[in-house]
Parts: sequence; C-alpha cells; structure tokens
Amino acid sequence: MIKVTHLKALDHLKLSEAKAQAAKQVPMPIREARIDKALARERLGLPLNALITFVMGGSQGSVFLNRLVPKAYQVLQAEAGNKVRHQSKDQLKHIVYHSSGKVWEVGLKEYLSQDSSYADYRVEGYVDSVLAWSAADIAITRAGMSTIPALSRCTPDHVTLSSSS
Amino acid sequence: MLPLAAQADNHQLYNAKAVEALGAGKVVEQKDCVNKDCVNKDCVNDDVTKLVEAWQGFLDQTEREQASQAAKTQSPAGAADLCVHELENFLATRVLDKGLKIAEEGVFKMAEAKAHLHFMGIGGIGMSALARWFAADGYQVSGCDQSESQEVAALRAEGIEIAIGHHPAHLDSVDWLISTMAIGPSNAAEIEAAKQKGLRSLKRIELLAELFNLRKSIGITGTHGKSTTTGMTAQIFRHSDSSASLLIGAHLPAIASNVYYGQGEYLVAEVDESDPGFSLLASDIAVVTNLEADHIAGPYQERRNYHASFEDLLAIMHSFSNKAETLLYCVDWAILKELAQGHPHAVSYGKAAEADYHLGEIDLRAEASSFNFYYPLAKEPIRVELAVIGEHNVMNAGASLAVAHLCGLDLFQAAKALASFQGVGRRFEKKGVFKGALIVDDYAHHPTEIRATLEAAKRTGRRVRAILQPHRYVRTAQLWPEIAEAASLADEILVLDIYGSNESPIEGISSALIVDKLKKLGAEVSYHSLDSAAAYLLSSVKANDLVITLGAGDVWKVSQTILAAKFEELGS
Repeated sequence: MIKVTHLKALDHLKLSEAKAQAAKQVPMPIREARIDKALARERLGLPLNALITFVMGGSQGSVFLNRLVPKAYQVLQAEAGNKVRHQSKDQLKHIVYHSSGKVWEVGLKEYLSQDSSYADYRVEGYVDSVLAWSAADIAITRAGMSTIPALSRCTPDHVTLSSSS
Repeated sequence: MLPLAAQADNHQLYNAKAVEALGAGKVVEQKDCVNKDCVNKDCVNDDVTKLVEAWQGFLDQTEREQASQAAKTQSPAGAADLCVHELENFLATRVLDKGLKIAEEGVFKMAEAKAHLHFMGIGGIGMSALARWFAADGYQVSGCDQSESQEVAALRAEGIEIAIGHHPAHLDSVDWLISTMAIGPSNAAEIEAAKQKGLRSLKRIELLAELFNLRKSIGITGTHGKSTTTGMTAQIFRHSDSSASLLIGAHLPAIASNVYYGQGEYLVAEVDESDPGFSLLASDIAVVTNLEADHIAGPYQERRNYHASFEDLLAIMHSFSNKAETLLYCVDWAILKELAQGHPHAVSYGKAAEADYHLGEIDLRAEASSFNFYYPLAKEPIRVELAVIGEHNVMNAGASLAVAHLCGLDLFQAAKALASFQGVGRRFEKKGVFKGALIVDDYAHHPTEIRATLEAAKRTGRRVRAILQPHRYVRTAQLWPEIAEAASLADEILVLDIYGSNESPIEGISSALIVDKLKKLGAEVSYHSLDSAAAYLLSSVKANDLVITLGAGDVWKVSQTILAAKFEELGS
C-alpha cells in the first residue's frame, strides 16, 4: 500500500482520519535509469550534433499529438530557415524523435514521407523510454502521472552536452 | 506539455500547471490548439501557434538549462527504494505495536514464564478451545465448571485438571484467572478471592485478543455459517500449511477437536458475535458471512449472550470490522454492504455479479454441490466440487476460498482441499443408518438455518422427519412464527420443549406456540419429550426416511437413542 497525502486522494480512498494523519508521501516510482547522452543517441541512431525533441503521446493521448506536433514542427522549421538566411549563423539541426503508438506508426510515417520538410522527423511505434529520455534535449508530452516524474529526471548535463557539441 | 483534457477531473492540466509553476516546463492547453472559426465538429482545423511559441522558446539553450535545473529540484530519484523503505518501516512499527501492547498487559511476561492459567467455566466450547491451545503451548492449565459435561470429561482425558463448582481454593498457585463474561452468584466468591489475591485476570475474549495479536489472524463471524466457514478455511490451510493454528466453536472431524495449536504464522478463528467483547479482536482478515437479528434481548431482561438491540450488535460489528486490515463480507446482504462502507480495504464475495469474488453457476444436488469461483483478474473461474450440500455451504466455501486467495494460497489446491471437507460436528452430521433411514443431526435453531438445512434435506428425495427443539426462551418469544414456518418445510415435525440454556422461562412462551402455528400451516406435527420422540420414531421409521434432529441443545440425544437401538438389535 502506497500512502498518499493529497487531501482529495485521501477522501477518495475513504481513509479514516487517523490513517490519513499517519500517511506518508512518496514520489511516484518510475524507470529512473538515465544513460550518457552520446551513448543513448548512438544506440538510437541519432546524431550527437543535433537538437533533439522527444515526442511521447501516451496511450490515449497520442492521436492529438500525432496530428498537431508535425504541423507545429513544419512552422518551426520554416521560421528557422528564415533566421538562417537573415543571420547567416550556424544552427544545430533539429530532429524530432516521435513515439506514435504502434497502431499509428505506419499511417504517420506514410503521411510524413509525402513532404520533404519532414526529413529529420523520425517516427517509432514504441521507444525504449530510458534511451529516449537520455537522448532528448526537449520533450513534448502529455501530463499523466508517470510522465511528470520522468520529466523531472532530465538533468542539465543533457542540455549542455548537446549545445556544446 | 499538452495535458489530456478528457482525464478524470482534468487532472493532467493541474499536473502540468504544477510543473509550469516550478519553471520546469510550459503548458499548452488542447482547447487553445483548435481554430475557433471551425464550427463543424468533423472539421480538423488545428491551430499550432501556441505550441510553436512554447517549443520555439526551448530552442534557446539558456531557457532549457533553467527549466532543467528547476525540474531537478523535484526529481523523484530513489522513489522505488523509498516506497520499500516506508513499507518496511510500517511493518516493523506494526510488529512493535503488537509487542508493546502485549508487554503492557502482562501476557508477554506470562509467555516467558509459562504461567499457570485457571479457566473458570472451562466446559464452554470457546473456553475449552483456549484451554487446549495454552496447554499445547506449554502452560500449566486447570479449570472449573458448574457441572459435568462431555466437554469436561474430554478435557480431563487430555490431562487437564478440572473441579466441579466454584471455590476460592481453586486459585492456589494460579497466576492468571480466565473467565467468561458471565459472573453469577455461584462464581462471585471465586472472582472476589482472585481480586483479593491480586491475581491478574482476563476475560476469555481478552485472552483471544492477545492470540489475535500474536498471529496473522483470520477472524470469522456472522449470524450463520461461521463454524462451517472456519472449518473449511482451516481445511484449506491444513492442506497447504499444517502449521496454521485453529480455534473453532464446533468439533472439526479432521483434527478430532475444536482447536489446533500450530507454530505457523496464521490463526484461523471462529468469532462468536454473541459475546459483545468481540469488538476487541484486531484481525488481519475479518470475515462476515451475514448478519441477522439473533442474540438480541429487546424488551426481555436476559443479558447473558444477548445484545440490548440490533443497533448495538451492528455498532460492535462495525468496531470489529474496522479493526481489521482487510474486511471480507458477503455482498448479497445489504446490511453488510453498509458495514463495508468506509472500510479502507473491504473485499466482497457472493452470488451478486458485483462481488470481487463471484460465485456462479451453482449446482445443488442431493449428495453434493458445485459452483464456479471467479476471482479478481482470473481468465477463467475455478470449478469447485463440494461433498457438503445446500446453498449455504456454497456460500461458506466461497468465503473460505476468498480468504485463501487473499492469503496468497494456491486456489487449485484450496479447491481440492474443500472437495474432501465433510462438515463440522452437528452440521448436517450423518450419525448413521437405521432400517434404511438416514439419521442426521444439525445445530440449526434460527429460522434461516432451519430453512437452509431442511431445503438441503428435501433435496435428498427422502421423507424428511424433523425433530425440532426450540433453543432459548428469548429467541422463541421473538421468532416462534418464523421458526414454525421454516420447520413446515419438513414432511413431518416433532416439536420438543424449549431448551432453556440456563435462561429463566418467560410466561406464555412454550413449544405449544410453534405446534399450533404448524397445525395452522397444515403440517403433520406432534409434541414430544426426548424419550417419546425416540420411541415414536423407532416404531414408525421407514427405509426412505431422513430423520433429522434440529437444535443447539440436547436434541441430538434422540438420534443417539435411535442408533443405540440399532446396536442392541445387532447384539441380540
């Protein structure tokens, strides 16, 4: 039994007052392992010299992200292209590593293959979450109870490594 | 983060907002990603402006670093280890609590010294079980009782010294006096002497409460079926783990006793709800089979083995179930559903589809029964075969299998153990065959029990001849019409005098009420004494008869007399 302190949760579980007072809060247990960013990218076949956004939809929540994120990416890339022309400054390649859910994988890949602006947009049905979180600089996710703690396990060295290389 | 809005209470939005407040991320709400100008519900017209804006921000390295630092402050590092640590602490405290409680009350010291326990009223079924338990555990045990009985004789044969009557002299060399709730004029002197000697004393139920604290305890109670459910549960435990201890308010043929002292961690115990002190018992699993108005004094003055009102009984039942870590209850009883309300870990069994442990496809036959046992997360139910008859035994079996599952026992082995269960003493106990007639003895005395037993008896296809001995004056005064109606299921009823069980008679309350009511119902009924009932049956018994003695008193003597006649015939 994992004890919780959130009042509404206690109410929901119908704990008695005495039990509620004795309750202790513990963080959500998740798969915590993180490996070296370079190693993770090598394993996933992603370049070290790039900015990587990891997209994870979750089970029910993937459909909307599968539709919306590629569109946003396209807008973002167009804007970056303009900046490069104006500032003529070297910019890191921006790669998206998108976990779409197995059922949407084929459809999404097919949809993206029709447009050359998605050359750096990679879709996978399922991903190894340890590798994906280790490799990423940015994540676009839902906000379910296991996503939040996973997010909080991203450490600054990931960010520094990617920008310095 | 794009929270999924369809989730309960929109909780993802609040999750995400908490992260944003920390500065560890940004929230883009799904409702802001839809083009408001798009009115057709099938229209997919996304607006990515907000998402692009948030994403764009994080392309900046400084912004990413700040967010990452903020996230790190909330890192759940070591969460799994922390959970394990908390659980271990919790369990350790619990063991400590138990230890302290025992030390405070002195029983712990008693355990070390293997003290001398004297049981006052040792012939009662609950007392004799405890006396045997402590004798087996190496204590010096003695006792006294008001009168000689089968139980007293059996205890003596096992080496326990027992005096008849109560006297202060019984207390020489005694360390602890164990007594029942009842203190009457006959034992008052002995209790007073114990006080003056400064003897430590415990009520039976307090001693039982200590045992409950020492073991992983399964306390089984309810108005009906508690002995059989305890017996079935014990059978399952003995099949898989012979070290489990057992205390039961009946004779269990498998152990030829009402108690088994084991060194293992489990204690399976029948809890008699007629003793209000049962609210003291803290079970690991409390099982409540059903709850009806029995042992309720109402307007009558009698208080021994009675609660003042049904509300009182219910309040005590609440206290008993709330003390239990897990409450297992029969969901087919509306009152038990109320009882389970608010319990942090209540689990149900029953015929209703909503039960956590559902009993389905029940097949009741003349000599056996079977049913499907559906348990949580099971792909397929287990088919359970019983050698005992009647739907009430299916319910009892369901409860005991649920206990087995809750304790992590192998359910297939448990079902196998149940298949060989032959019942506990005085529960549809087959005493023998006389001139082809089946002679059965049953403890049934409450209308619900009489009905269940007679329905099972009818299913044998035999002519059911019931010898009914009403039990206690107060119960008869309260329930005589229902008792008569239930008894009318039999093909013929012989009604004996009320068995008073030390109660004072109540004016106007006698067996005649039941006899008259049965006559009005058109039943074949006659009034008898123990002797005349036996004589009448001996002269009229036929091969297709099922002769069944019903009652908690000494009605079983009728079946004994009939079967003794059989041996006399054999001898002559």
